[in-house]
Amino acid sequence: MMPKDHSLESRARIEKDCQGKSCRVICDQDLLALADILNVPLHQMYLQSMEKGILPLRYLRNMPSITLKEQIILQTSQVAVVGAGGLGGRIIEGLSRLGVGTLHIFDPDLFDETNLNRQIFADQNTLGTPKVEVMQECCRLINPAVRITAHRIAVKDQNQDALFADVQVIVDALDTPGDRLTLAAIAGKCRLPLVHGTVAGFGGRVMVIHPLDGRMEMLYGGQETACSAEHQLGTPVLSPALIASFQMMAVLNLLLGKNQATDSRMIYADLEKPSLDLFEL
Amino acid sequence: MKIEVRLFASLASYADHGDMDSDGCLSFKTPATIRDAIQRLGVPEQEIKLVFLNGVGASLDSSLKDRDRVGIFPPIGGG
Repeated sequence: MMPKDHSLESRARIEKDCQGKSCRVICDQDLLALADILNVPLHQMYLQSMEKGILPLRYLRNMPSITLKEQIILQTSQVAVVGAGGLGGRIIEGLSRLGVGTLHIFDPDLFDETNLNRQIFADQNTLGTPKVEVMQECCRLINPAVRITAHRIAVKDQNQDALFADVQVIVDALDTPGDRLTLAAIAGKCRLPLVHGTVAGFGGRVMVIHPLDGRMEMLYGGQETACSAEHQLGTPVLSPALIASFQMMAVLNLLLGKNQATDSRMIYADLEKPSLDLFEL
Repeated sequence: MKIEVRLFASLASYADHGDMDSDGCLSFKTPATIRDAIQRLGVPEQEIKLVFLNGVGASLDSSLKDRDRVGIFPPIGGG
Protein backbone atom coordinates (compact mmCIF):
# COMPACT_ATOMS: atom_id res chain seq x y z
CA MET A 1 0.00 0.00 0.00
CA MET A 2 1.31 3.48 -0.87
CA PRO A 3 1.88 5.86 2.06
CA LYS A 4 -0.86 8.46 1.73
CA ASP A 5 0.49 11.01 4.16
CA HIS A 6 3.53 13.23 3.90
CA SER A 7 4.53 12.77 7.51
CA LEU A 8 8.04 12.61 8.89
CA GLU A 9 7.10 9.29 10.54
CA SER A 10 6.26 7.70 7.19
CA ARG A 11 9.75 8.49 5.88
CA ALA A 12 11.64 7.44 9.03
CA ARG A 13 13.48 4.14 9.34
CA ILE A 14 15.31 2.37 12.12
CA GLU A 15 19.13 2.44 12.30
CA LYS A 16 21.52 1.43 15.05
CA ASP A 17 23.92 4.00 16.51
CA CYS A 18 27.56 3.08 17.16
CA GLN A 19 26.58 1.56 20.52
CA GLY A 20 24.05 -0.72 18.82
CA LYS A 21 21.07 1.23 20.16
CA SER A 22 18.15 1.56 17.73
CA CYS A 23 16.96 4.99 16.72
CA ARG A 24 14.64 6.45 14.10
CA VAL A 25 16.43 8.32 11.34
CA ILE A 26 15.48 10.17 8.19
CA CYS A 27 17.67 10.97 5.20
CA ASP A 28 18.34 14.41 3.71
CA GLN A 29 16.52 13.60 0.50
CA ASP A 30 13.27 12.95 2.39
CA LEU A 31 13.67 16.07 4.51
CA LEU A 32 14.25 18.15 1.37
CA ALA A 33 11.22 16.59 -0.33
CA LEU A 34 8.93 17.08 2.69
CA ALA A 35 10.09 20.68 3.16
CA ASP A 36 9.17 21.29 -0.47
CA ILE A 37 5.79 19.48 -0.33
CA LEU A 38 4.76 21.02 2.99
CA ASN A 39 6.25 24.45 2.12
CA VAL A 40 8.28 24.55 5.33
CA PRO A 41 11.82 26.05 5.47
CA LEU A 42 14.42 23.25 5.52
CA HIS A 43 15.95 24.24 8.88
CA GLN A 44 12.43 24.11 10.34
CA MET A 45 11.87 20.66 8.82
CA TYR A 46 15.06 19.41 10.50
CA LEU A 47 13.90 20.82 13.82
CA GLN A 48 10.41 19.30 13.55
CA SER A 49 11.96 15.94 12.72
CA MET A 50 14.29 15.98 15.72
CA GLU A 51 11.51 17.17 18.02
CA LYS A 52 9.55 14.05 16.95
CA GLY A 53 12.56 11.94 17.91
CA ILE A 54 13.61 11.30 14.31
CA LEU A 55 17.29 12.04 13.81
CA PRO A 56 18.53 13.30 10.43
CA LEU A 57 20.81 10.51 9.20
CA ARG A 58 23.67 13.02 8.77
CA TYR A 59 23.92 13.31 12.57
CA LEU A 60 23.90 9.55 13.33
CA ARG A 61 27.68 9.43 13.78
CA ASN A 62 27.53 12.36 16.21
CA MET A 63 25.71 10.12 18.69
CA PRO A 64 26.07 9.56 21.57
CA SER A 65 28.79 12.23 21.95
CA ILE A 66 26.14 14.68 20.77
CA THR A 67 22.67 13.43 21.76
CA LEU A 68 19.41 14.07 19.90
CA LYS A 69 18.41 16.56 22.60
CA GLU A 70 21.72 18.40 22.15
CA GLN A 71 21.39 18.29 18.38
CA ILE A 72 18.05 20.13 18.80
CA ILE A 73 19.75 22.79 20.92
CA LEU A 74 22.41 23.23 18.22
CA GLN A 75 19.76 23.51 15.48
CA THR A 76 18.14 26.41 17.35
CA SER A 77 21.45 28.14 18.15
CA GLN A 78 23.07 31.14 16.48
CA VAL A 79 26.83 31.73 16.44
CA ALA A 80 28.90 34.57 14.94
CA VAL A 81 32.34 33.79 13.50
CA VAL A 82 34.43 36.93 12.99
CA GLY A 83 37.32 36.34 10.60
CA ALA A 84 37.18 33.70 7.84
CA GLY A 85 40.87 32.89 7.49
CA GLY A 86 42.87 29.87 8.69
CA LEU A 87 40.87 29.48 11.90
CA GLY A 88 37.54 30.94 10.80
CA GLY A 89 37.19 28.82 7.65
CA ARG A 90 37.60 25.58 9.56
CA ILE A 91 35.28 26.73 12.33
CA ILE A 92 32.57 27.74 9.83
CA GLU A 93 32.91 24.39 8.06
CA GLY A 94 32.89 22.46 11.34
CA LEU A 95 29.95 24.28 12.91
CA SER A 96 28.01 23.62 9.69
CA ARG A 97 28.72 19.88 9.92
CA LEU A 98 27.84 19.93 13.63
CA GLY A 99 24.45 21.41 12.77
CA VAL A 100 24.60 24.82 14.46
CA GLY A 101 21.39 26.21 12.98
CA THR A 102 22.43 29.77 12.14
CA LEU A 103 25.89 31.19 11.46
CA HIS A 104 26.75 34.85 10.94
CA ILE A 105 30.15 35.07 9.27
CA PHE A 106 32.28 38.20 8.86
CA ASP A 107 35.36 38.91 6.70
CA PRO A 108 36.02 41.67 4.14
CA ASP A 109 38.78 39.79 2.27
CA LEU A 110 39.12 37.84 -0.96
CA PHE A 111 41.12 34.58 -1.15
CA ASP A 112 44.72 35.15 -2.27
CA GLU A 113 47.69 32.87 -2.92
CA THR A 114 49.17 33.30 0.57
CA ASN A 115 45.98 31.66 1.93
CA LEU A 116 46.54 28.41 0.02
CA ASN A 117 48.96 27.03 2.63
CA ARG A 118 46.29 26.71 5.32
CA GLN A 119 42.83 28.06 4.57
CA ILE A 120 40.10 25.54 3.86
CA PHE A 121 38.09 26.58 0.75
CA ALA A 122 41.15 28.45 -0.68
CA ASP A 123 41.89 26.76 -4.01
CA GLN A 124 42.59 27.57 -7.66
CA ASN A 125 38.92 28.27 -8.32
CA THR A 126 38.27 30.57 -5.36
CA LEU A 127 41.33 32.86 -5.61
CA GLY A 128 40.12 36.45 -5.95
CA THR A 129 36.63 35.57 -4.64
CA PRO A 130 35.16 36.92 -1.35
CA LYS A 131 35.87 34.42 1.41
CA VAL A 132 32.50 34.66 3.16
CA GLU A 133 30.60 34.17 -0.10
CA VAL A 134 32.65 31.06 -0.98
CA MET A 135 32.06 29.65 2.49
CA GLN A 136 28.34 30.39 2.43
CA GLU A 137 28.01 28.45 -0.83
CA CYS A 138 30.28 25.54 0.18
CA CYS A 139 28.62 25.13 3.58
CA ARG A 140 25.14 25.21 2.01
CA LEU A 141 26.21 22.08 0.13
CA ILE A 142 27.70 20.54 3.29
CA ASN A 143 24.57 21.14 5.39
CA PRO A 144 21.57 22.89 3.82
CA ALA A 145 19.81 22.97 7.20
CA VAL A 146 22.29 25.59 8.41
CA ARG A 147 21.41 29.19 7.57
CA ILE A 148 24.52 31.27 6.90
CA THR A 149 24.47 35.04 6.74
CA ALA A 150 27.62 36.26 4.99
CA HIS A 151 28.82 39.76 5.96
CA ARG A 152 31.62 40.97 3.65
CA ILE A 153 32.70 43.58 6.16
CA ALA A 154 35.34 44.11 8.83
CA VAL A 155 34.20 44.36 12.45
CA LYS A 156 36.21 47.38 13.54
CA ASP A 157 33.74 49.57 15.39
CA GLN A 158 32.28 49.05 18.86
CA ASN A 159 28.97 50.42 17.56
CA GLN A 160 28.50 47.35 15.34
CA ASP A 161 26.99 45.48 18.29
CA ALA A 162 23.56 45.30 16.58
CA LEU A 163 25.07 42.70 14.19
CA PHE A 164 25.33 40.29 17.13
CA ALA A 165 21.83 40.85 18.58
CA ASP A 166 20.58 37.27 17.96
CA VAL A 167 23.70 35.19 18.68
CA GLN A 168 24.61 33.19 21.80
CA VAL A 169 28.37 32.94 21.21
CA ILE A 170 30.94 34.98 19.23
CA VAL A 171 34.09 33.34 17.84
CA ASP A 172 37.27 35.44 17.55
CA ALA A 173 39.11 34.15 14.46
CA LEU A 174 40.74 37.49 13.68
CA ASP A 175 44.42 38.22 13.10
CA THR A 176 45.08 41.76 14.35
CA PRO A 177 45.31 42.89 18.00
CA GLY A 178 43.26 46.08 17.54
CA ASP A 179 40.34 44.23 15.93
CA ARG A 180 40.39 41.58 18.66
CA LEU A 181 40.16 44.28 21.35
CA THR A 182 37.24 45.90 19.51
CA LEU A 183 35.47 42.53 19.23
CA ALA A 184 35.96 41.87 22.95
CA ALA A 185 34.41 45.27 23.69
CA ILE A 186 31.41 44.40 21.47
CA ALA A 187 31.05 40.98 23.16
CA GLY A 188 31.15 42.75 26.53
CA LYS A 189 28.48 45.22 25.43
CA CYS A 190 26.27 42.34 24.20
CA ARG A 191 27.04 40.26 27.33
CA LEU A 192 28.19 37.36 25.16
CA PRO A 193 31.02 34.86 25.65
CA LEU A 194 33.86 35.23 23.13
CA VAL A 195 35.85 32.16 22.05
CA HIS A 196 39.35 33.48 21.35
CA GLY A 197 41.85 31.52 19.27
CA THR A 198 45.21 32.36 17.76
CA VAL A 199 48.14 30.53 16.15
CA ALA A 200 51.88 30.88 15.48
CA GLY A 201 54.16 28.22 14.03
CA PHE A 202 53.04 24.74 15.09
CA GLY A 203 51.24 25.99 18.19
CA GLY A 204 48.31 28.07 19.31
CA ARG A 205 46.09 29.29 22.08
CA VAL A 206 42.39 29.09 22.94
CA MET A 207 40.53 30.90 25.70
CA VAL A 208 36.89 31.69 26.46
CA ILE A 209 36.65 35.38 27.32
CA HIS A 210 33.62 36.27 29.41
CA PRO A 211 31.87 39.64 29.12
CA LEU A 212 34.06 42.47 30.39
CA ASP A 213 36.47 40.12 32.23
CA GLY A 214 39.37 42.23 30.90
CA ARG A 215 41.38 39.24 29.66
CA MET A 216 41.58 40.26 25.99
CA GLU A 217 43.34 43.41 27.26
CA MET A 218 45.84 41.14 29.07
CA LEU A 219 46.54 39.36 25.77
CA TYR A 220 46.68 42.37 23.46
CA GLY A 221 46.47 45.60 25.49
CA GLY A 222 49.24 48.12 25.98
CA GLN A 223 52.05 49.36 23.82
CA GLU A 224 53.20 46.51 21.57
CA THR A 225 56.93 46.81 20.97
CA ALA A 226 57.56 43.13 20.37
CA CYS A 227 57.07 41.38 17.06
CA SER A 228 54.13 38.98 17.25
CA ALA A 229 55.20 35.30 17.10
CA GLU A 230 53.34 34.45 13.88
CA HIS A 231 55.48 37.00 12.00
CA GLN A 232 58.58 35.05 13.05
CA LEU A 233 57.17 31.51 12.78
CA GLY A 234 54.51 31.69 10.05
CA THR A 235 51.21 29.80 10.24
CA PRO A 236 51.37 26.37 8.56
CA VAL A 237 48.09 24.44 8.25
CA LEU A 238 48.57 22.18 11.29
CA SER A 239 48.04 24.79 13.98
CA PRO A 240 44.86 26.42 12.57
CA ALA A 241 43.34 22.93 12.13
CA LEU A 242 44.11 22.08 15.77
CA ILE A 243 43.14 25.37 17.36
CA ALA A 244 39.92 25.63 15.31
CA SER A 245 38.88 22.26 16.82
CA PHE A 246 39.49 23.53 20.35
CA GLN A 247 37.45 26.65 19.54
CA MET A 248 34.58 24.53 18.19
CA MET A 249 34.66 22.42 21.37
CA ALA A 250 34.39 25.62 23.43
CA VAL A 251 31.43 26.74 21.30
CA LEU A 252 29.70 23.37 21.87
CA ASN A 253 30.33 23.53 25.61
CA LEU A 254 28.90 27.05 25.79
CA LEU A 255 25.82 26.28 23.69
CA LEU A 256 25.11 23.04 25.55
CA GLY A 257 26.03 24.38 29.00
CA LYS A 258 28.67 21.70 29.59
CA ASN A 259 32.08 21.80 31.29
CA GLN A 260 31.53 25.40 32.34
CA ALA A 261 33.66 25.26 35.49
CA THR A 262 36.90 24.84 33.59
CA ASP A 263 36.11 26.61 30.35
CA SER A 264 37.85 29.90 31.07
CA ARG A 265 41.39 28.58 31.36
CA MET A 266 43.87 29.38 28.60
CA ILE A 267 44.83 26.31 26.56
CA TYR A 268 48.19 26.37 24.81
CA ALA A 269 48.93 23.47 22.47
CA ASP A 270 52.19 22.84 20.64
CA LEU A 271 52.10 20.10 18.00
CA GLU A 272 55.85 20.04 17.50
CA LYS A 273 56.88 19.06 21.06
CA PRO A 274 54.07 17.91 21.46
CA SER A 275 52.58 19.55 24.57
CA LEU A 276 49.30 20.78 25.95
CA ASP A 277 49.15 23.15 28.91
CA LEU A 278 46.42 24.94 30.81
CA PHE A 279 46.98 28.35 32.38
CA GLU A 280 44.92 30.63 34.61
CA LEU A 281 44.97 34.24 33.56
CA MET B 1 66.95 26.01 43.95
CA LYS B 2 65.92 24.47 40.66
CA ILE B 3 63.36 26.25 38.43
CA GLU B 4 61.67 24.80 35.36
CA VAL B 5 61.46 27.45 32.63
CA ARG B 6 59.34 26.93 29.52
CA LEU B 7 59.66 29.37 26.66
CA PHE B 8 56.75 29.19 24.21
CA ALA B 9 56.27 29.94 20.49
CA SER B 10 58.97 32.25 19.07
CA LEU B 11 60.75 32.42 22.46
CA ALA B 12 61.60 28.70 22.34
CA SER B 13 64.87 29.48 20.54
CA TYR B 14 66.21 31.21 23.70
CA ALA B 15 66.15 27.91 25.58
CA ASP B 16 69.52 27.11 23.94
CA HIS B 17 71.16 30.42 24.92
CA GLY B 18 71.73 30.09 28.66
CA ASP B 19 72.70 27.38 31.07
CA MET B 20 69.43 25.43 31.04
CA ASP B 21 69.93 21.75 31.89
CA SER B 22 68.53 18.85 29.86
CA ASP B 23 65.28 18.88 31.94
CA GLY B 24 64.65 22.51 30.97
CA CYS B 25 65.63 23.75 34.44
CA LEU B 26 67.79 26.60 35.71
CA SER B 27 69.64 26.44 39.06
CA PHE B 28 69.98 29.43 41.40
CA LYS B 29 72.16 29.59 44.52
CA THR B 30 70.64 32.90 45.74
CA PRO B 31 67.05 34.27 45.87
CA ALA B 32 65.78 35.10 42.39
CA THR B 33 62.79 36.45 40.47
CA ILE B 34 61.33 35.46 37.10
CA ARG B 35 63.16 38.48 35.65
CA ASP B 36 66.49 36.99 36.86
CA ALA B 37 65.62 33.72 35.12
CA ILE B 38 64.80 35.28 31.77
CA GLN B 39 67.90 37.48 31.94
CA ARG B 40 70.03 34.35 32.44
CA LEU B 41 68.51 32.96 29.23
CA GLY B 42 68.96 36.22 27.32
CA VAL B 43 65.25 36.72 26.57
CA PRO B 44 64.64 40.43 25.84
CA GLU B 45 61.89 41.77 28.11
CA GLN B 46 60.19 43.58 25.23
CA GLU B 47 59.54 40.23 23.55
CA ILE B 48 57.50 38.97 26.53
CA LYS B 49 53.73 39.36 26.74
CA LEU B 50 52.50 36.78 29.29
CA VAL B 51 54.23 35.36 32.37
CA PHE B 52 52.97 32.37 34.37
CA LEU B 53 54.19 30.92 37.66
CA ASN B 54 53.00 27.37 38.35
CA GLY B 55 50.27 27.80 35.74
CA VAL B 56 48.88 31.05 37.11
CA GLY B 57 49.40 34.57 35.70
CA ALA B 58 52.38 36.30 37.35
CA SER B 59 54.80 39.20 36.81
CA LEU B 60 58.51 39.34 36.06
CA ASP B 61 59.02 40.53 39.66
CA SER B 62 57.49 37.36 41.14
CA SER B 63 59.89 35.60 43.53
CA LEU B 64 60.91 32.02 42.85
CA LYS B 65 61.16 29.01 45.13
CA ASP B 66 62.57 25.54 44.54
CA ARG B 67 60.73 23.47 41.91
CA ASP B 68 58.65 26.40 40.63
CA ARG B 69 57.50 26.21 37.01
CA VAL B 70 57.74 29.36 34.90
CA GLY B 71 55.98 29.84 31.53
CA ILE B 72 56.84 32.75 29.22
CA PHE B 73 54.90 33.76 26.09
CA PRO B 74 55.51 36.34 23.37
CA PRO B 75 52.56 38.15 21.77
CA ILE B 76 50.67 35.73 19.48
CA GLY B 77 48.11 36.95 16.98
CA GLY B 78 47.88 34.73 13.89
CA GLY B 79 44.52 33.54 12.65
